Amino acid sequence: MPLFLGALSLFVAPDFGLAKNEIKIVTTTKTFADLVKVVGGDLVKVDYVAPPNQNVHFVEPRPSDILRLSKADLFVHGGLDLELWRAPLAEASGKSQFFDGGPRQLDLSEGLLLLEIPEGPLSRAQGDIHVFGNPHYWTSPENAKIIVKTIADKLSELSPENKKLFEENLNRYLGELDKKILEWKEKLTPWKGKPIVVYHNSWPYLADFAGLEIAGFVEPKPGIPPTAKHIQQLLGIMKEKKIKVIIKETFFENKTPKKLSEQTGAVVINLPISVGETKEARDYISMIDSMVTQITQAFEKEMSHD
Amino acid sequence: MFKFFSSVFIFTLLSFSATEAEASEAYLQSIQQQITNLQKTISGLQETIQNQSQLIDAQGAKITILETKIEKGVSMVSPPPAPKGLGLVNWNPEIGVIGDVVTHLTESTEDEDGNDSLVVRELELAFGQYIDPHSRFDAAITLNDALEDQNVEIEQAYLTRYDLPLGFKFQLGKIRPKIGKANLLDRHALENVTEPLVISNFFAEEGWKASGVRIQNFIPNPWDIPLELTGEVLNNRGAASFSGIRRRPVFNAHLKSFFELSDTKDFELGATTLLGTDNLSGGARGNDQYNVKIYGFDATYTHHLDGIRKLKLQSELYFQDRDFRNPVSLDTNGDGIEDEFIGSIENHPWGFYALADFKFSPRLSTGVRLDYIKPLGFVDLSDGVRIDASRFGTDYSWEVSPYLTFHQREFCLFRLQYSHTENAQGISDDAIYLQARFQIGVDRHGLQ
Repeated sequence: MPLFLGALSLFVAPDFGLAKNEIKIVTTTKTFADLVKVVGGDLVKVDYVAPPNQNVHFVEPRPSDILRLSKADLFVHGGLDLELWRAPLAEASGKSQFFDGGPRQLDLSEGLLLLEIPEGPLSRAQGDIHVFGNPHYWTSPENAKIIVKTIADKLSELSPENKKLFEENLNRYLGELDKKILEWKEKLTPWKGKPIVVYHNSWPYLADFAGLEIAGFVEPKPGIPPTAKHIQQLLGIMKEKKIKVIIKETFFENKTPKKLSEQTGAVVINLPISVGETKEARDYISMIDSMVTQITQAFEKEMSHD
Repeated sequence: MFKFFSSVFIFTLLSFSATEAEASEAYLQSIQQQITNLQKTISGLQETIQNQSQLIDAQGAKITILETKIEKGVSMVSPPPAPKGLGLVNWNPEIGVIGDVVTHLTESTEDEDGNDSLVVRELELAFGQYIDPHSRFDAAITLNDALEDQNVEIEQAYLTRYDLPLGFKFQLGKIRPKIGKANLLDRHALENVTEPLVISNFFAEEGWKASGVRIQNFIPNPWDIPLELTGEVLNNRGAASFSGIRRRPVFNAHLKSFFELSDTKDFELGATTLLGTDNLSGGARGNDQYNVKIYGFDATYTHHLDGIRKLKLQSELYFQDRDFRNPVSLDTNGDGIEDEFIGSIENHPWGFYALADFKFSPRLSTGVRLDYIKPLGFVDLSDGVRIDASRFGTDYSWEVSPYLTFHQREFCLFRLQYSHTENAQGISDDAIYLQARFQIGVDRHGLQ
């Protein structure tokens, strides 16, 4: 018993060496971490939970993530049903301020125009339907402009004395984004209206931005592995619509897209959906750069074959 | 004379010109300064205009979105709109239903329940919802369709209180005690079809679940590594290592540390100490208060080879220090003298398991578990009944269980397992299990 009580007394030990001036932030993804950093600059310390090369829907937070969140000032997440592990992580931190709707959490889907909000009764017979709408909204740079504004507002709320600095960082980044958006749109314009096939339904926002038409999915339903019958149907669509580009995330299997490629001549491209997923995607802008470059090169390759 | 006046005139003229030139130069410098100042002002104004333009662009983007929204009549989902017409249904808890069906083929010829059977081993109904901004209630009720043991059990039912001072977390109710790793998992969430032998022998067949209270926190440390300390006071009911008087609870302390070796590799170490009472009667009685101490250690190494492949190595070891008098003997003729030796109790049972699990594709994982235990020896002489000495656990059991798991979805899996067992009674068995686990709704088990 004395040992037990002695162990319990350790609970009240003092906290060690934490910097008091910086805002400690935990984000669910590295992409969000990057966007928080560009606004917060040196005033924020940002950690993220989901490894960039894993499906963000199904991640197992580690004890170190729980500890970091329990010490954080702000929890930044994608909202909706992007992170199925978000609520258990927030609960494990022991602090209700990080729960959905809490004062120390930030839902980055706030203020965004969401695509594919399902209507009518839902069930898993429809696959992994996102009940609030497609949550992969950061793949559109136009949405990134609203996301960074949302971040700046929250940081200013937490640290009003640094509001001017956050606004300066925001405006500088918005300027950069605007320049890049013009550049990206210019590169993508020649391929506007072109049909593509994607592996998982992660790309409607990118397709919307790029003006591409998603004509089919490798998965028969979201999250459901491809079947032989579905692949035959998809091959028919690809041949009929002369689809020459297949887009997938790096962490999905290559076998099926490769098979489709062999039978249709389509180019398979692995796009980073998260910052850090590939070596080219060092930050948000370079991630979109990488997406645009790969899409452009794929269509150019198709043109050269034609 | 003329020359003199001419010289004076020229000198005067030159003097005037020099003065005028100096004045002009000063004037020019002043003009230049004003121009420089104006240039700076213009530059500042340009910067302001640029910033304002960016702000206008950002606002413009928002306006465009709002206009699009109005045009398309699309609703924003922030916060998610409350379903219309459902009223109080919104207050319903999150509900999950999990089915666990197991087929078991064994060499054993005994017609016991569980031998050569196909049963819904467990149907779990899980409920959970916040009670208020600082508390949550979770409950899991399991129904068992095994022929002889059909029952309904409150598997878990506990309140969690958040926002306590100094970052404490508090739970009260029926919980899975924080012992190592495997005991924390519902049996449908294990990597294997069956629990490790050391868990089922020392604690309970399906893992130990006990009513009690838990308090938990991270211990601050200069290295900022997660050091989680858990203290529990538990009802001793349901654990094989503890029995008897219920008012003597079991005390449990568990310390967990976690090390991030790299972005893809991590290592977890845990230690458990349990202190409780096994209140045996008759000749087995020794020190009957807090006469059982269990010490446990667990280690888990995880390596994410890439976004799909994952290797997990895990082991748990438990050692018991039991305080019972040996040898066990009986008073057969009632003269107050224990005259018949009937065996001995194992005061230091111990055991471990080692598990290797490898997920090698999006849908498939495989692994093997090795179990070894020197099991508990039981003596129950409360009714004067003699127990066969062969059950006193004087030998050891071991088991090896390779398996293959097909993860159809995150919510559905199929598993094939083979187990070879050599038990303490010298009986060997070969068994094949086929497990199917499926889930609908929400499965909100907390993070370990």
